[in-house]
Amino acid sequence: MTRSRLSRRSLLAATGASSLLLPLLHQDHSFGAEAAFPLRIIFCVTGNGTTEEAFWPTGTDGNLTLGGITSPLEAHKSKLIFTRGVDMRVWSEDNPFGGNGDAHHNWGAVLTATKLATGDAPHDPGGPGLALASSESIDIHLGKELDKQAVAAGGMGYPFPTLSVRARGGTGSGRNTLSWTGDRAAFSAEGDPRKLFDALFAGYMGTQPDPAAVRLRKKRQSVLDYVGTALERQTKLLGREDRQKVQLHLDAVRSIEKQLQGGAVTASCTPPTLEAGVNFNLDDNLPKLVGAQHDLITAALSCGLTRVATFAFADAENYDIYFPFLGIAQQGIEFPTRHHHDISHRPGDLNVDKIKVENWIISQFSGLLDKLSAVPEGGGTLMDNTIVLWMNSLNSGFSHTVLKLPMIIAAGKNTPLRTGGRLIELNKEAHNKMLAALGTAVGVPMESWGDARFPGQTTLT
Amino acid sequence: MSAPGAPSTVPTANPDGKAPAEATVGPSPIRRLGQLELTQTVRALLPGLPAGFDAGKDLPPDNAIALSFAVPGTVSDVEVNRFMDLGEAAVAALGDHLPGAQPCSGDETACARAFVESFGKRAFRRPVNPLEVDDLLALYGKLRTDPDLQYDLKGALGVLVEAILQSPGFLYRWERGLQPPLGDGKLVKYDNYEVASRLSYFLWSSMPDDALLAAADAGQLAKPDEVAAQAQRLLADPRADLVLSDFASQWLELTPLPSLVKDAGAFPSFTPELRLAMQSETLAFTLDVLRGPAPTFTSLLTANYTIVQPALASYYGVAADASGRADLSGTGRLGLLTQASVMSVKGNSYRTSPVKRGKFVQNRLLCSSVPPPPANVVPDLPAPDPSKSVREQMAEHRTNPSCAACHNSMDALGFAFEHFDGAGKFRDQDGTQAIDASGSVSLDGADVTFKDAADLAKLLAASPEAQRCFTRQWLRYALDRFEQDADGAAAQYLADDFVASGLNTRQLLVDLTRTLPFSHRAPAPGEVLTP
Repeated sequence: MTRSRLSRRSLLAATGASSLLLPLLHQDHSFGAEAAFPLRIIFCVTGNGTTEEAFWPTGTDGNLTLGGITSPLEAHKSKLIFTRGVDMRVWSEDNPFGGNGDAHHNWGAVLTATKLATGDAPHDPGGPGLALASSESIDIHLGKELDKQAVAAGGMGYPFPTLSVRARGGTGSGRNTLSWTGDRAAFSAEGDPRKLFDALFAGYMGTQPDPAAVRLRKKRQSVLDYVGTALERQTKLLGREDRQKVQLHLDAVRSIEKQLQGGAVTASCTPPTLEAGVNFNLDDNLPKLVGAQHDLITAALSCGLTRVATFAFADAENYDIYFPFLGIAQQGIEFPTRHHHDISHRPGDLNVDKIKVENWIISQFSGLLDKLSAVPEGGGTLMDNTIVLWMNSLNSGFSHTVLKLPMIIAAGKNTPLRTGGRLIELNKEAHNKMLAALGTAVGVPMESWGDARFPGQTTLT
Repeated sequence: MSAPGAPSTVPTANPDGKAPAEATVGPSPIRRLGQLELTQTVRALLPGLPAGFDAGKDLPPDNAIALSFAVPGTVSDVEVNRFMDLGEAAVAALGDHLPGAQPCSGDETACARAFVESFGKRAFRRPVNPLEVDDLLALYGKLRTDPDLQYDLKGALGVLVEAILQSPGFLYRWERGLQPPLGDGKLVKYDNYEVASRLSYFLWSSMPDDALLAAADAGQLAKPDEVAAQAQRLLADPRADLVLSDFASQWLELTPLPSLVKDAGAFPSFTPELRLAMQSETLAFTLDVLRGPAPTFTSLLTANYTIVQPALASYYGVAADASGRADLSGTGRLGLLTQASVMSVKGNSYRTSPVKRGKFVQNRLLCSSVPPPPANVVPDLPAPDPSKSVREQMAEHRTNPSCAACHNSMDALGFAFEHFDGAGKFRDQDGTQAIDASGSVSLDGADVTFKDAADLAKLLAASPEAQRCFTRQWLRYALDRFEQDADGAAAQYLADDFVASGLNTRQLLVDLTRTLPFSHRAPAPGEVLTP
């Protein structure tokens, strides 16, 4: 439990509220009638490829037999669409550094669907080599657009237009970052469940406004207001590129200020309980870490704090991800240790550990669908109103290729997608088109996404 | 990426500190404090913090960069929250030990103003602009008088510390405050306060001390000789040990060592304790050389001694004296490159990795980048064949033409280290086969042969190409950026100067602070300068 620690999420948006058992209920987020429940979307991304023979289902639409890796999805099969034949063409056709091992630097292209920023190639001695993205990612775009729509409809908008979350991995480069607010502008994912809980929910419980919580929140707002002013003064003095960089800092300060003003929380919302005393950094606790982050994403979606979430399992390389809880020993084969990268570096038929690990990763995806399906919403569940894209940034961690990307869509019955346990065969479909189709499905119509060379949408309806 | 204009022919500023008219220098983007810098700065700024307080613990780590040194990322929501947490945690940990807070008699607002001006100057590493004082006092007023806040004087000063720790003046390396940068001909000249911070962050990874700030106050950091004299002082201070170690650690790519795991069957003695002993050896040896009478590149690569803990001494089969110093004669080891730390990090779990070792030498000792494998390569790794040596198993790298272009030179360099197994222990045989550590390498435009790693280390130490590369690595470390064409004259000056000094690293670090890229930068597009 982290509730005892008062934090930046407001207790209540108004200080004079009378005694309430539930937090303030904003009418615009009180999804009273089923028709009023908005659609949500989650992008789940993992890296290092799969073992294709064990990933793709066989059989016919409505009657699929899942693979050894995807078998944990059996209970959710009717919600699924497998799309086979989607390539990351923005990468495979002309990525800035050739291919092969460097596809590990492709996370800046996954949700942007554009080429990386020039001069940022890891092997370019003239550039910083961080493999930074060159444009906004679709999760950030959808978050902004849905927020705008909510405000235009007279609502308050969402305190977290996009919620970017990770289990392991890091921040700040194209090796680990999926969400980008623009050219070379990483939007870091929160990897610490306790800090994520604080950001989303701390100070939320209680029967009436706690003066200490109100004071803390107001102090933070006052401090950030000062910091924002200082940043504004600073940016005016800088050259264009530096100004853009510091502007990102200023935008982030304003975004936290907005969160502190108290967002909207719905009547049906229940903050999760984080298990006390767990060291989430331990390899043995990876399942608990993923579970906690999925709980928090589910709650944030259910509480109306956001409609768009991104979940990175780790990063594009996974050098420090271990699976002792699956009985996989520490020593590596090609690399010093048997981390996820090492496990992924062997050809398929030799590699039972790879199948075991990928099966477990899919079981976590299935666990997320369980959680979404367990939250009542109107007469149905949160899952009914949610689209989840699960994808791997490589098809094979062995050849480092980005063709026929492992990709699964799970969608609820109130979404426009036609599900039913389907396998759609595509031929070199640019992943841009898939993202455009999903963006449109969640309520932000778009004809294309990302690189203009790959216009159009994949048909999923 | 290079700055427009012809390469510079001028390596340093004029003796008066002005840039010659024909001088060029590369652009230098604004940078925020990295994880190590922030940790060190918070500690120096707030000496009242308890010893166990770790400011960097929850900060996002900097991003490693191939061929160079780590840089901090941009700031988004997560980082803003982390800075807020850091400010609050630091002030909570300070308790009654607010820096420089005097008992206030009289007007409390005047006391707050004095606090803002004195603490702010240290935190911002330059005087606080009147407008900034007003902003902070406005915050102070709100903290005191807002009905929901009602902080007392001490509480309000604590919140001001939090606010300052989150402000751009503290977090960014920009010591001009609200004044536009200083124009100097076609370039920007770093002012005295900027130079003070450039010196302290380069040589201490921390903020300037009082003496350095006083020199900036007095305008005594404008000329190359003045700057070099301060550099001499900072380098002589034990606080510079941190930077010498940090450089070695990043240059030799040892960051993964503390958590490195090996196949227990192949390398049973590679325990966590031994890993730490390996790391300690490299850092102790580096400091011993660079602090000693011959702080040369030659010593770093070819010294016939090391400094080891007892566990590592027996691993090496050497006898160490009470201070840990051990003679390496007869061990096949020489200098840094054959140390177990380097050999282990650039080794696989169950065997050596000539590719990683060769690539490391190319990247970090010769400053040449190795392109990634072509896109159509499927690295079909055969299972280890105990009847073959590693060298034999890697034969395809050299026979297959698409591999050979890069692997010929990379693997040849790597094979030099075959006497050291994947955990850095000396061996005569690879399986059943005698080790062949000989090879040839193209150095300074000529093919030269070596018989083993010690031989290669001597060749590298004597190679102008490797010596120049070492000066480039330091230049990148000092400038927090890659050198550009426009910095060419300074880079050449440093390489020549390094040779002239007998490859003296301390001299290199001091002379680096005389160069134009240390005192000046190219204006950024869109920037308005103070004439």
